[in-house]
Amino acid sequence: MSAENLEKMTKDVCLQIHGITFGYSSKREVLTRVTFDCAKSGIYAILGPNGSGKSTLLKCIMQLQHASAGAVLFNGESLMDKSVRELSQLFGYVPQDCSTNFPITVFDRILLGRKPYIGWNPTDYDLDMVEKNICMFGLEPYALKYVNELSGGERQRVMIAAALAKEPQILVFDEPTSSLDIKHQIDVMKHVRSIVQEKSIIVLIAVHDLNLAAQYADQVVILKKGSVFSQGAPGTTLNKENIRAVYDIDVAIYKRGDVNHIVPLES
Amino acid sequence: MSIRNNRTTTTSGVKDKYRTFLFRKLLILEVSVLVLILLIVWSVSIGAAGLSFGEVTLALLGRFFHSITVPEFNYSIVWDSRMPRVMLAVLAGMGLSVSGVLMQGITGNPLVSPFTLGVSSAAALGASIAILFGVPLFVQFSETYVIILTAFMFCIVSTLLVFLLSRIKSSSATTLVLAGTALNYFYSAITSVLHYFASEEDLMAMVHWTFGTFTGVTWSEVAVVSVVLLICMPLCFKEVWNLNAMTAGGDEVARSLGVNVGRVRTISVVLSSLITATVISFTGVIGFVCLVAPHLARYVIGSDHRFLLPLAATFGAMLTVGSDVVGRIVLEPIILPVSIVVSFVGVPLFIYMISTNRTDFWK
Repeated sequence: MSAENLEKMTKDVCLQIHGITFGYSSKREVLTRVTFDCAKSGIYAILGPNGSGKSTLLKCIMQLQHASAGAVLFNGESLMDKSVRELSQLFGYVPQDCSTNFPITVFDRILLGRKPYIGWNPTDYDLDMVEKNICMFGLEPYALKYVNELSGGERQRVMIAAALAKEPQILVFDEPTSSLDIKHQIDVMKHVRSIVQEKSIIVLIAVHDLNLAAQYADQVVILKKGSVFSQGAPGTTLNKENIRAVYDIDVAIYKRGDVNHIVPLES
Repeated sequence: MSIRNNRTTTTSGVKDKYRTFLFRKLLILEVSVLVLILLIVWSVSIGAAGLSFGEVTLALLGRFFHSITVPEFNYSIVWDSRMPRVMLAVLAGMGLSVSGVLMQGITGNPLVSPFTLGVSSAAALGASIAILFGVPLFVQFSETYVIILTAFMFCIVSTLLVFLLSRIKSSSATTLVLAGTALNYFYSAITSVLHYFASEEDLMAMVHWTFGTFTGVTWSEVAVVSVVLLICMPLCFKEVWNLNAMTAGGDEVARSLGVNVGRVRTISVVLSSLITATVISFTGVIGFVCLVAPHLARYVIGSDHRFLLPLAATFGAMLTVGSDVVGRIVLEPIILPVSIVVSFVGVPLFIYMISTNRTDFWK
């Protein structure tokens, strides 16, 4: 392992979201004083019903939307003052919808992940990073195929590979597994976990699947109507009472080891 | 699928395959430039004077190599009467096509062209007004120049309007297209009013202007268009990576890749409008090139704008030059306006392309 990697391993990362308030129009706030910390590297699952502000929160953290109040700090520095380029080097973003109207090849799409570093011609290192990520996700057979020609799951892998190609310090997923079957969901989550362990980065994931969060997240943040309802380890936070309060459904919870299995009950 | 944990091996050869892939694209580009040059020479050789392909080639080369002796007559036909026409066709095709690529890129919509923003109907309105009222401000110029200048000014004013309208509610792609479309109808309505009240003679001149023609073109017109293109094209090329990012999956993805989306959109709208305005002020409304050439190029080479932009430019030039030739020979001695022929040539190509396309890009 190189010295640089060692340094990365030992360096603490810390993302602080402090009092984020945001509204698309001035009348209705989508987010109200959202505050939570990601004090060390790990997977942070953002949960909450539709319309609770998960995607908006992610965009505010990445500064794709500008919060009307509050601050986002990474390792103590405010992200508000950073340039678009600096931010793009910091965050890897995998969007909810990754379709495109244009014929772009898998290789080119992943190469775009390197865009924050590319001046005019991609360097050898850029191409190596692309190749590495293509191999990592088993995308070799599709490298020169158009992204549109792939299945939803393959496309998702391309997007994740593209986000990782830029070697981000914070990886942001918006519903990463929503278009994947159960095996691919687990594969992606396992993979994300191994990346977190290897590179000690922060991963923010907005998910609907409570069981996926229960199994893979280090921390869960539950949003309700634009505010943080509860935050903590999945084993304790994902309990009957919280789920009842946020989703308005009754669930049964079965423990297997540390992991909660959540089964909705028909009322 | 299995996500591999073996992360150190990079001996898949994917990188080399990609390099070969890029090399092939470069080759396609070179071949198409060569074809364009041949097409230009062939196009110059077509006409009443009956010059052969060889004579034209010699006359063309004679300008650069003084050791080649060319008959005065051939030289004058080629350089004074035919080349300006063909060169304007080349520049028009290139300019319109590149504008199309830019507009489609920044809106993420393969069906948008500079004409969607109302540039053409603004030009038509400007030309109609100039024909009807003669705009006394420019009396020192000939009538043709008055028409050209007014058409151009209307294009620019219209672009500014579209821009201001889209700025009211951020500069999202949808607002841009909607504002443009609305203005488009507005200009058409005013133009129709002018048509309605115009004398028969003026009406004919107005309608004729919109047909588009390369007849009677001189080197001075070619010079004006070349200067504008020489300034704008490098600026377009500067945006290729940004365009790649913007076509890869929408504004937010582009911004997460470090693209200042608003800035790129502003630059692209200004450049493509400027180019289109300049071209159609001289040639009349040649619409379809903006759509066909970029799509053909994308079909052949994909949407990596590093290659797409130059290939679309050559395809656009081929299309206008080819259409001009067809328009000159098909009903000889009548010369059909380019805009009409472009559609006749372009539509079958376009439909062929849509029906054979492997993937559906209009989902």
